[in-house]
Amino acid sequence: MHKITFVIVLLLLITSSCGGGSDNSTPTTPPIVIEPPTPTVDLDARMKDAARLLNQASFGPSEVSIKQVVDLGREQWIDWQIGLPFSSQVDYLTNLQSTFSSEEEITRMHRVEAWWNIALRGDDQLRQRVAFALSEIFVISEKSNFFEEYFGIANYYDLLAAHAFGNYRELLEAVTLSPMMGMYLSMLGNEKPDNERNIRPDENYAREAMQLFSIGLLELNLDGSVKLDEEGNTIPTYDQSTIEGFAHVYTGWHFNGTTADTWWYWWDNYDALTSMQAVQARHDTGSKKLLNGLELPANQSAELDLTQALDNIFQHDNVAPFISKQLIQRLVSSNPSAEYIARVSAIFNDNGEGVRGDLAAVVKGILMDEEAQNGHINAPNVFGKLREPILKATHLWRAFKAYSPSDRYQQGYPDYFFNQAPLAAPSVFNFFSPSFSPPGVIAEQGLVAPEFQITTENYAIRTSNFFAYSALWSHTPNGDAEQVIVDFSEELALVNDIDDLLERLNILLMAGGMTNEMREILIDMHNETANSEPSERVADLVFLIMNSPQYSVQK
Amino acid sequence: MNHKTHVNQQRRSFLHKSLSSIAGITTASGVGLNFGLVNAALANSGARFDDYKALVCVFLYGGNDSLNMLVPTDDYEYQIYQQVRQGLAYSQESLLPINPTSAQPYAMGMPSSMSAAHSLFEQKKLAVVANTGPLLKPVTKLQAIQDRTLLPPQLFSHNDQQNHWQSARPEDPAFSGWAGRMAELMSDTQAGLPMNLSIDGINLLQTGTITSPFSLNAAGPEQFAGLDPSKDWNSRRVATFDKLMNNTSHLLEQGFKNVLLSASTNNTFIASALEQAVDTQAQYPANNGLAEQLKMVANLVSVQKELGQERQIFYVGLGGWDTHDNQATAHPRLLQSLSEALSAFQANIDELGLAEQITTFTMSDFGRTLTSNGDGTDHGWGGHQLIMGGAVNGQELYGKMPSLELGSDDDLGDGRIIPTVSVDQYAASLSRWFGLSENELNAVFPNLSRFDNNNLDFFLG
Repeated sequence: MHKITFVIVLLLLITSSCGGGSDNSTPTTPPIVIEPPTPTVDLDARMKDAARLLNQASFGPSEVSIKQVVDLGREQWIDWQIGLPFSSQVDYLTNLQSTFSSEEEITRMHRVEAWWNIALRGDDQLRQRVAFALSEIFVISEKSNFFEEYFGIANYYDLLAAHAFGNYRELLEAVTLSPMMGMYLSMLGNEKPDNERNIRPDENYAREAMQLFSIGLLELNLDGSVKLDEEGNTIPTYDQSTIEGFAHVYTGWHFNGTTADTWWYWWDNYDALTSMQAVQARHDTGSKKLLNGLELPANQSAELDLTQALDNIFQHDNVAPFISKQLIQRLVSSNPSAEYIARVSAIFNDNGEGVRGDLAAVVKGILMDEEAQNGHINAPNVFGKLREPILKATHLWRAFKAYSPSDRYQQGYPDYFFNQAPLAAPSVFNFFSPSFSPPGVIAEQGLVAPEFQITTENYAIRTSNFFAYSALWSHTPNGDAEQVIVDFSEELALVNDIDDLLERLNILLMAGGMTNEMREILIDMHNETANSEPSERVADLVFLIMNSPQYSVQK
Repeated sequence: MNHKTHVNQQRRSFLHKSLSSIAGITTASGVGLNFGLVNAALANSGARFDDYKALVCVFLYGGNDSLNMLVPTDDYEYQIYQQVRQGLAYSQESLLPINPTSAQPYAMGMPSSMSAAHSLFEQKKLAVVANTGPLLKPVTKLQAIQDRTLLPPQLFSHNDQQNHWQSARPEDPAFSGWAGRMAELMSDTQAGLPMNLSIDGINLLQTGTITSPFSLNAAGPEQFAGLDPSKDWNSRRVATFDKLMNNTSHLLEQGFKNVLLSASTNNTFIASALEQAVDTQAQYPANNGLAEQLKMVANLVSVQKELGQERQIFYVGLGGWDTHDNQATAHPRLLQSLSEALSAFQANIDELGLAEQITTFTMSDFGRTLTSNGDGTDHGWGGHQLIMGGAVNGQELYGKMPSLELGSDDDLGDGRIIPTVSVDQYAASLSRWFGLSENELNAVFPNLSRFDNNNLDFFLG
């Protein structure tokens, strides 16, 4: 026990001595000091609990963020995070561009660099982690005809971050009117029917907005289970006529500034950053049949039709379980219990103050839930999720304070290693399906594990190789200005005290979940390498832990 | 073909056994594989056969507007086509006429972007299966309108219709794919390198009841850097990692461990086999992702003996077919990419002398609406598919061309065409050629008996 105490003291000393700087390029505004809860639980357990929360709610625990959670407590940390302003990718790109010479241009690499920078150094960790989750639900992708619209894609990501703790209804409208979504799912330029030319409205956004962004295909209960009719059959949420109703609603929208006269001259109006604008002359004026028997009357404006149609979706009973379950899956666990989903869905439907769709309350509900906090104890062989491979990388770099002589994270193609990159999914169906279940031990138990869908043999190897290139072979500067260097200095101080070193890694990487057997295996290796370079001994431990199946499942 | 019937019976039982009773077989460690053990991979596929065959699935993600691949050239029929398709219609004079062996209701051509596929067709290396799609059973327009339960679940939804094509089990599509089930029936063991090899990631088609496809990239199998057991400097790490791998309890940890084990054993095995791959003179088109994938398929085909695989099933894919907008520009480019990739691949296979042993076929979510939404099309139902290879009775159309007239008996509405050939018939015809018996066909395709004809007869002999 004295050894653990030593680690803690060290951790806290180190933290206070570096002024919170490693997490941020600019000094952090210190969180409002709230009287810490009476320390009934010992500090070691509180650090592990903090790290567990930070696995769910950030891009990976670091010393600084663990201390923040320990100081504030779980709930206050969440509240503090919810109140922070958001870090903007567009701002990052704008600043970066101002440093460029005339030949340099913003490219995909810089867009992804902005993502790394915010994931690794942003204060608003929870908001950005939720935005990342939303980017895998409200999908647009550079794998489309706008692959070179880097600012537009960054701006769409900012939109998700800005609305992450707002209201779902406003998020849905912002997404719907985003010109990037407009281009991605072809609502932009969608015109009213022209029977002479056999032209009918485009159904793309109408279909995917219901199937993927809001209600899904089948009627659900509050707890996410599928509703059945008296004969035991599933109940579709909509049919083709509903799709056509919404497709007619979504007519008449184009780039901001477009008029009836300039409808066809879209390059003149091109604007990937501003919300789309209605052009009444291109909007269908017939009545429209929507969900739950609602029929919009004829001759309404495009704006009014849209407002009422999005309200119609928002009021559907499916939205709460459909969105809540996916957010739980992205943050906490692939297989949440029905009760957990129902509790979060209830918050979605009413945040306690009669407000529906309060995403801050939903996220807080997800993270404060008993299952999020104790699932690893109550269902030790099932609870949790396979870590998304790119989030393993942010974890490594946050835990070990990765830095670069260039002060930039110029890692423009994470998809090579991880089979994923921000806003780069193969289609609107994301990198993986929330219901994907790999055959074998997981499917046999009726479980899902979405992240396995991108974990092919090849990418399992490439992800492992990322850890080799970074953790094993990039902890020492090599003179390259763009090198991202992991800093093991804190760990090196413990290299001759394997118990303390492993306890530190256990907290930072596994939220205290390392089994005694795993610890013994690592100690055995460490003892055999006494003659090796200390930095390599540390690197070996970090590499092996982060490659291990035990680490790869966030619990 | 040397059928070993007792093995067949054992294999067939996989489909009926409860999953839990065979749980032990699914972990690679359960059959004695070890992460650090190089060359532990076994060939597992199709030991009951004394010949070699391969199937190559080309999946066109998003729903190919395949009704625009075959266009009437007769004046009367062309007018109907032009009237319906408007801005998406190809000009009559730009079409490349095809000359199918059997009589057709009207003359047809392919768009000029498909010239490479057109040549294959005229050389009898390629055939078209007309108006194919997901069906629960044969259905007329009247029936489809009157009784919704006759329509496949979630008709017009991308992922559900992809799943129907790939599973041929619409009642339980997430369960397994038809190629996965077929491989499990044909294989002596589920350990070692799977018969199902994917160059385009994880897919339902090749997922069996207990097995996953082995997945590699177009550039070939990747090798571990920090965990490469063949490098001395890794030995301690690898030995330690082995111990960690044997210390899992969580179900997801075990799933992840199985991926790593498969990667460790199979990648080295494939990489060493690929050293024997035969160089080709075939001209693969540049900047064509599908061509790159197919080239890797050809390489793997060329080393099938080294891999010890009498049967191989490959999966490649090309996205971008969901042409809701910009179709007049985008779709011809896609057709060109597809055609040129297929042509180069077939030249490569011909060169290897394996033309009659390898059949390539397309699948896609659905066909698209004949009507336009202004500059694109929406999700339809039936569509045409291409089959290619020396065993295919090429220069021919199978199935029946639908009417292109709006409101015809083939049109469910807006030019969503009701298929007249089912996925089951299409896939079963391929699977019979691949070596499944009649009984096995019915096991793999539970709905096959609902259709009169379970053999589309598109192979020679």
